[in-house]
Amino acid sequence: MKSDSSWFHRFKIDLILIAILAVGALAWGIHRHPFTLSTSDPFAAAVMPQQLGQSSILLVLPDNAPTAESFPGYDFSFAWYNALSQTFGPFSIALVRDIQSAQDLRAQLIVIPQKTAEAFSESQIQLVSQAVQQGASLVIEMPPPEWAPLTGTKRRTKGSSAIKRLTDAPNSPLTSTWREQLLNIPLDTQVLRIDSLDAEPLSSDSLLLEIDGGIAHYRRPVGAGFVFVLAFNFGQAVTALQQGRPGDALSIETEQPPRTSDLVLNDKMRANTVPYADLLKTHVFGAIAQTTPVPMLWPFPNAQKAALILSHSTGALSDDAFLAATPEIEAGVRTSWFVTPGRISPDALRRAAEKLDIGVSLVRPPVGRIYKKIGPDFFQPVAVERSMAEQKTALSRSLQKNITACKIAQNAWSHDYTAAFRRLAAATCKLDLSYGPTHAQEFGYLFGSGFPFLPIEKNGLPLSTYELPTLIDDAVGLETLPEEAPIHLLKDALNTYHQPVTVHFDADTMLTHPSYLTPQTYADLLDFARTHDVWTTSAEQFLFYFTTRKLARLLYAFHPQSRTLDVDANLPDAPFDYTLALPRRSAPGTLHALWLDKNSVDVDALRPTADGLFLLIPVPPGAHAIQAHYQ
Amino acid sequence: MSRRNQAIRDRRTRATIWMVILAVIALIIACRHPFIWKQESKIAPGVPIGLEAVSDFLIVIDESTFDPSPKSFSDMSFSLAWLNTFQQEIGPTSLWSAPRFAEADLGSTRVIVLTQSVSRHDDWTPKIRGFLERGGVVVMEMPQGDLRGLASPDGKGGLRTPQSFTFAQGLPQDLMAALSDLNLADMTQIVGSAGPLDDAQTWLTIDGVPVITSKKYGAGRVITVDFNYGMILTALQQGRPLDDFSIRNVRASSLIETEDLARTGDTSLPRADILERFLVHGVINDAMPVVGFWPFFDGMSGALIVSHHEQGAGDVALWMPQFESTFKATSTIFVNAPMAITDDGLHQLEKFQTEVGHAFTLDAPGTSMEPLGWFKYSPVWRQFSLDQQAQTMRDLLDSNAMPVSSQSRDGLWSAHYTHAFQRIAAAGFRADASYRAPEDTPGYAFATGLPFIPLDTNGLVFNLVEYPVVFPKLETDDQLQKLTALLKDSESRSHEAIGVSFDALSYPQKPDFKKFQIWRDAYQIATHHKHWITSILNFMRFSRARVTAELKSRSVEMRVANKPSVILRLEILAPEAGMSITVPKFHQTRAFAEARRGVQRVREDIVLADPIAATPVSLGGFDRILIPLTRGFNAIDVIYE
Repeated sequence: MKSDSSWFHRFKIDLILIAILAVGALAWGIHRHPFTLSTSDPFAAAVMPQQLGQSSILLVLPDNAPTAESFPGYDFSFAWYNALSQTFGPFSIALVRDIQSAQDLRAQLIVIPQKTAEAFSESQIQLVSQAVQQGASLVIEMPPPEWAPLTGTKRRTKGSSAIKRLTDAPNSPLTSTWREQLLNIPLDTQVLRIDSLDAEPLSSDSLLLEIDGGIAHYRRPVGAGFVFVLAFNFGQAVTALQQGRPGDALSIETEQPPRTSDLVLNDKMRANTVPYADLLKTHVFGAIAQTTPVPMLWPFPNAQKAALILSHSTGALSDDAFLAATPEIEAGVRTSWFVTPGRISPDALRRAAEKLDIGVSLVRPPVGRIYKKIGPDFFQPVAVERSMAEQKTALSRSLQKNITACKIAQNAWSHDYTAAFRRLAAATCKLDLSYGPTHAQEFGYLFGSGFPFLPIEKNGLPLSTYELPTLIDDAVGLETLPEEAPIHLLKDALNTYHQPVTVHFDADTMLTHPSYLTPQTYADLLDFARTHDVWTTSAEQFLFYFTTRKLARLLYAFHPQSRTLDVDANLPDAPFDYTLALPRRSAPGTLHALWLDKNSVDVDALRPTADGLFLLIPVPPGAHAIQAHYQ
Repeated sequence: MSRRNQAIRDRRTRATIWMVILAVIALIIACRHPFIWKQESKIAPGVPIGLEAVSDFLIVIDESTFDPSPKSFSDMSFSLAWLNTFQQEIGPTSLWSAPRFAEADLGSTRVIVLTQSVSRHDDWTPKIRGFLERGGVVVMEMPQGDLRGLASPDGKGGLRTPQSFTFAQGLPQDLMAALSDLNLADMTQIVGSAGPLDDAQTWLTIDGVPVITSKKYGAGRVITVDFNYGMILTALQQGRPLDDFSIRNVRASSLIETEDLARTGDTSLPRADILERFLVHGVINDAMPVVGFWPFFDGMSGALIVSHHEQGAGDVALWMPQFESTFKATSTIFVNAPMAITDDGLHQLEKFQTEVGHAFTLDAPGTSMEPLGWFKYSPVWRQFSLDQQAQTMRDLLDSNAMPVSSQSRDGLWSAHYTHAFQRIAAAGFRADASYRAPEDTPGYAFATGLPFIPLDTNGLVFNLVEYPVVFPKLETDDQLQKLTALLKDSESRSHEAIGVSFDALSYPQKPDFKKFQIWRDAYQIATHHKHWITSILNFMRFSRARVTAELKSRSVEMRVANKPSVILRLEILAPEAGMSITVPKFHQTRAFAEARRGVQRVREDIVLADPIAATPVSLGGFDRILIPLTRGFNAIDVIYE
């Protein structure tokens, strides 16, 4: 012992120096590979949205709904909210409990989803009946027998959740090609079995849609108005397409970590060139316009017929990533750029933000983690994982500007149907572009639409983050797609379906999936959009138009005797002209004269939609009186 | 233990501990900054060459006069440079050594080129005289003695250092201006004479001195080239080193690049080809109708020889060949060793018909190395020699996909004129594309876009062909504009192979869309100007077919369709499809009328076969007619009326 003690004593200085060296080496090692602390993402709750604009279209929503345990058990009322936003723009909303008098139903079109219909009392049904008798149109989804005076059927019918197939659309307003495509819609819905009406036989022009040979959608005149009955759950059918179909237990069942494209309704949707969800909406709302003229605020400004929404991620590249934006900047087009925090210098970011719309590319497991090192620059022993919200905040801070758009890297998703949406909402993302192709050979309308929608939480309420589906993502490897598929999608969006086509090009794709098709497809799309009056824009700009038009006031009334449609529009201030769409033909006749603020408008000079159902009228922001005469 | 012993032991222990610690630290530092152990490359010097071709043209050299170790560049023998001229402009050419010539029968030859190395062979004078009297054409480079006495200027002015070209008979003005711009001081020597030669025609003068003259002799013609033609051609194409064969770096860099050898100044015109075509299609063609194989497939106006850099990125670099395959173009991709391309990537390249070449490094640190020791941490790394780099590639490739072409990464070169060629040849490559124009001034820095055989300092040839890269980088509008100008000129007059190199990683790493557009536009413009977009290997195969082809011609006068005519009878063996020949537009004051296959004689007149669709072309300012061939034997009569 004494010897040991003296050994330590004799080598004390050496040991101290060695210890200092060891500590230094250890500190250097820890600085290079700091201890990491993980973080979990907070969740936001879904809430009832406020009414934004005002319209003669009234959507009545249930007072409350229980949290669903399974997908068929969902309250899909807010699918109507999405459908009306996408199709009409502004509309009014009311809860069932708000319907107390005829005053509460002063609307030209009343929309009552299934859960709402079930919640209506006898007296409230009576109020609706009065409104219809006086000329309003009613769209009602899967009505219970209490609605028999309006629907013409009082037999208690049994609902079925088995997947059905549309078999005929005899009086659909759609063109013959679209009608064929309508019958191919993959359906996930519940139906009411209606073989015939109790009140009177269904006239030859009243049946609009059949499912498995049964009545699925029909029109019935009641007094001065019309009732449109949907004997299937339209909200479920649209949600299953748009938001995707989880397993019955509301989880995504995959062996690999889930991606958004795992939510597609069926495999046919993985390479799909037809916006089925929007075809169904066009059928339902077109049938109303076919009966009585209804104005709408078209989803593209300046009477344009389609949009090319360009988005990019900077990926693994640093400041050089923005070189890929040169053609867009030269063309004076603002596009979306999703940036991973920490990879781009603040200077480059600020320069880019002057000409581009910057969003955040959120990196979360299993794709990766982003850490924030704690400590002074020379010694940072601890690194804390950044949550989605922190990543967005960090980027907003370096940009000195609030970021609204998000995209989860590699479209990574949660096993839970809505957990990722709740995280995005908690991160205050107003817009997300994660829905889209993820695997080789996937492209097109995987989610049945190119329009943004609010995702529906299990309690039936919408979360606050708009989901804008991506149609083309070069990360899947464009060489795995049919070579002309992207340009055909854009051509069809312009000439047939009138859709926003969101395409995503990573700045580093040529390093990860190198193919000449990537830059060539990008150039072809940009060139086609430029030469064919397609609105080329960013996701943020598109959402700005999409949501600003919801703030408008659009009141209308149709006078059957004079066959005149009066529209009172008050359009919010904006740097673009809105587009008012009026039915070209309706039961009262064909639109033959039009006055905007008492100035006559040449109807023949107006641009029609591809299906010929509507004429597009550019209208500047402000208050306007529009009068349309049908003959 | 005594206190002293204890202290001694402690000191030893302390020293041991600190030695171990220092050793560990030293090892860590050494692993981070390892010692590079360079391997010596194998060397293959220039080798003799002899060619027995079925051709109108014969070049004669005497290797015994070659200095195997010349002290300066101007002491080198450049006689073999003549081979480049005739292989580029004609195709099949015989090349005989002096003993072979002395014994051979010259009956099937129409043009003999007596290079400077045989200029003292007075003993051949009777043989040459006989050949001339039978109507042959003899080109003599700086002849001496009795050979000079046949029909050349007296040469009494002796050797002189020249300044510039001053006159060229029949050469368009702008092409003459391009030649005049050359500073000839260190590129050649001329022979002065006391006075003009009677009855001779002067074709070319340098500093006012006639240096190419032609004079009838018997039924034939003597063309005297009184300057070192081989030297100027070599200095232009292969570059001009300093007199001690070292290369001076003319840029602000410590590394030697191939562009340091260029001596042309303005790079917009292929001056070596202007000179060659003037000699062949101007001077010799005046003495006898010159028939030559067209250098490009399917009668196209020129070629865009495309290569890519893989830069060790592996399959990421394959997107450019992928695009080229969509319009049946091919290219060469130069791959680093050790090779990062996967088997799947190689399979794809095979499908695209892309040639895999080797991007080598001569001495550049940090490339083509492997650690010696533990895994990737080692204080010593071995840097592969060129032949080892090539071997690592060959080990990974199928035997039928052995790399034929090589390229020095970044154009880095040896400090000696030919050491790099010696190593490339020893590594077994048959084509090289290391010679490249400066990135900021692309163009014909080596006075040609066509491939040439480099000479070693011993005057002999390397068993490889150098493909100069005209555009080492093509990413800006200015560069594309220049390419467009060169393609346009190539389509109309210069008919060149334009080597273009694209960096396959440049766009992926810095995705400036302009680069992609320019790359794609380059192909469109080349196609528009009728250029063959191809790889080095494909061009080499076609060029090899040209020089192994057979071509014999003779002129006869007869009546065709009752008109007095001159017929140029051609017997040609075309080993490949897509080959063509050119013939002069004018012959003996008569103009080209038509070309027909297998003209048959019936009594006094002849029966004509169907005419061949012929196209007029201008080759370096000389009017010619392009005639397509079928694969195999072609008997063609070209009729001049």
